[in-house]
Amino acid sequence: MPVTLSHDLVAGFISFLLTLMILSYLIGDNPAFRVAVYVFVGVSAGYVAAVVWWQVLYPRVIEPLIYGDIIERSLTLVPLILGVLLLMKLSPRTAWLGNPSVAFLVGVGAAMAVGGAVMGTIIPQTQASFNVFNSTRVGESWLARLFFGAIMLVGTVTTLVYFHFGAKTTAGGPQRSKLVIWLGWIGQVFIAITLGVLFAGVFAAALTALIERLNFIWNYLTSVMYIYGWIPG
Amino acid sequence: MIEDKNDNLPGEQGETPFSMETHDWLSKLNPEQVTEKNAVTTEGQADSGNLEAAELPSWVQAMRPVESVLESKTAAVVENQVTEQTGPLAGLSGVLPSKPGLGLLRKHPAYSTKLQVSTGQHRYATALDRLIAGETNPRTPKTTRVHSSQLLRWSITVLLFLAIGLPFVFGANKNGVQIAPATLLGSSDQGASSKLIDGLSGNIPVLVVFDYDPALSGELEAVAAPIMDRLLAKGNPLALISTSPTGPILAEHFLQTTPLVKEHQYQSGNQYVNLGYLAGGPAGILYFADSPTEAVMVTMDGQPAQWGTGPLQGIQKLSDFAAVIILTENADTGRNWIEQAGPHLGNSPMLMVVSAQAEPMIRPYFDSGQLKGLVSGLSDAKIYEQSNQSLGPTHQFGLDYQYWDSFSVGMLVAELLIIVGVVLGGVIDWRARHKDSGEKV
Repeated sequence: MPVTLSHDLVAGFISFLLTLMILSYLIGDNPAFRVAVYVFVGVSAGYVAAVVWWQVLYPRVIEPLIYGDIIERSLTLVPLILGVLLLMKLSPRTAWLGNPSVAFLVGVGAAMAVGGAVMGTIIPQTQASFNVFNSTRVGESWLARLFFGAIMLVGTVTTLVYFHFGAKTTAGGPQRSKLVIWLGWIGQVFIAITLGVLFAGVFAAALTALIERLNFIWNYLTSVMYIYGWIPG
Repeated sequence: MIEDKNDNLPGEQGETPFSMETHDWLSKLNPEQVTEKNAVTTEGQADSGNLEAAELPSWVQAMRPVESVLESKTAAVVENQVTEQTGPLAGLSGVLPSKPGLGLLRKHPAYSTKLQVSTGQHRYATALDRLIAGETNPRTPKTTRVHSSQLLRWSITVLLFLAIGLPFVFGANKNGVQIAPATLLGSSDQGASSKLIDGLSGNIPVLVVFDYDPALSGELEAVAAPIMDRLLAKGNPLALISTSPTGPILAEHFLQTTPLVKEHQYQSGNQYVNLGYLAGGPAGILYFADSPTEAVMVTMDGQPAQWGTGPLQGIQKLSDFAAVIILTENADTGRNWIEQAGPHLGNSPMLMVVSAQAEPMIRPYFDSGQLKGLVSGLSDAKIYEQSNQSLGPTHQFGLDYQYWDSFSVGMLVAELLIIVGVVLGGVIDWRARHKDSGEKV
């Protein structure tokens, strides 16, 4: 059967080759692995540069400056000047010129982070912690609600206690109270369970990614063997 | 310069205590010194004949030369002082010089420039000297044997590859032979997501955020495929966006190549529009949530975004979307969308499809009601996929079905390895303790 070099076959071969080069890290750092990493970094950087140019710089800066009216041009000058000042950070001599841009970025970033954390996480999560014991919740028996609520309450309190490092001054040196030590130990158990869950999640994610790659390798090999007639369809 | 006091006591090696080199012109100015020295020496010799030599402590020995010199000089000075007999200074001695002119020119007491240290101080100094010298000498790298760790690494690798690869090789799941349980019990999480998708109006656009990295696209595509399959089966137009520069191309890859999704044959410009990259991180999200039409002006193709028409028909603000679905492997990215875009959603629900590694950090937002739906990891996706059987018989044989056996066996092998590792570690630790206690007895 005549075989033509289709786009899929070539792209598949490159993907297959790069996957093997990355997996070669199993035998340690080697030139094949490094070449694959360099290719990935180079291609990513080039792609990101193109995306940023066509989606941010050109429509947001260049186009308004060239085709915009006087108001648009004036408004575009503000981010343009701030951006140019930020580039001054490249040289130690002119780095101070970039301080206003950095101050603007840090100020806006901090304000948004704090505002978002308070309104989007701290207050809603605190309310949710109270609602665990809410008797109007449907779908759960009161016993189950009490059990899960108690677990959450104990876990929250003991974990917070674990990070309480206050100590009384005694003749034998600073000492934590026995109650704090005891509750902190329970909190330590909750922290250990949390870290275990995080590790399990990371492993499951990495395992799925590995399965996808091995599945790709197997499908590619069987497809090529089928094309060349080495295996029946 | 460091000098050991025990080795070189003052006066023992012929060196004058507190000796200091002086210029010739300065030494010549003090002709009386010779007389003073002779007087002191005579007194010392006379005293030594009457007293026994005592063993003095080291600190007294260190002080002795100073005392002798100072006392002798004080005695000489007292001898040279004249007591006034008349006038207002009568009875006072040493007030006026005994001779006219500059009076007596004396040489300043001389102190040794050599540091006197104790034996302990000398030992510490030597140790510090050796320590500094050791830092400057190049070290030869130690050759360690790593054969055991390499063997362990290769063993784990082979085990995992066999566990993952054998279901592919033998085609167990393709031949209808399932190693792992084919059906899983559904939970309220998947039920909530399914009901939410089913409840969406079919002609209102849905915003889908592709905020995952290429490294975990294998997992996210498998996890997101069933929920997107259900959504596309309803025919909702899609608006795709990403805060990651690589997100837009991953979105295209997902829609065009992923099993269960590519079968719907969604066309760019008709059924979906790729709004491309949203710059600025959390600030960009807030800007987009506040005013989508101003935040995104061009699509991924470089064409002006046609807000209000085509796939974006009726969309002027974030709450106009029927739902917002976020695909991410990063808990921080997910939290940013919840915190910045959540208050602007109105009645539109927010769903999240996340990697297994992000679930522990995102689940509290689902429990608190900020997220209306959550699908995380391959196991959740498998449950969701099997619930899609109602869409047709082929809708439950996607990536999750293909990966499920490998995933189950791989997780089982990992759990066994952890148990074996814990037991082996415990045995080795117990043996080491047992050995230590035996040596102590």
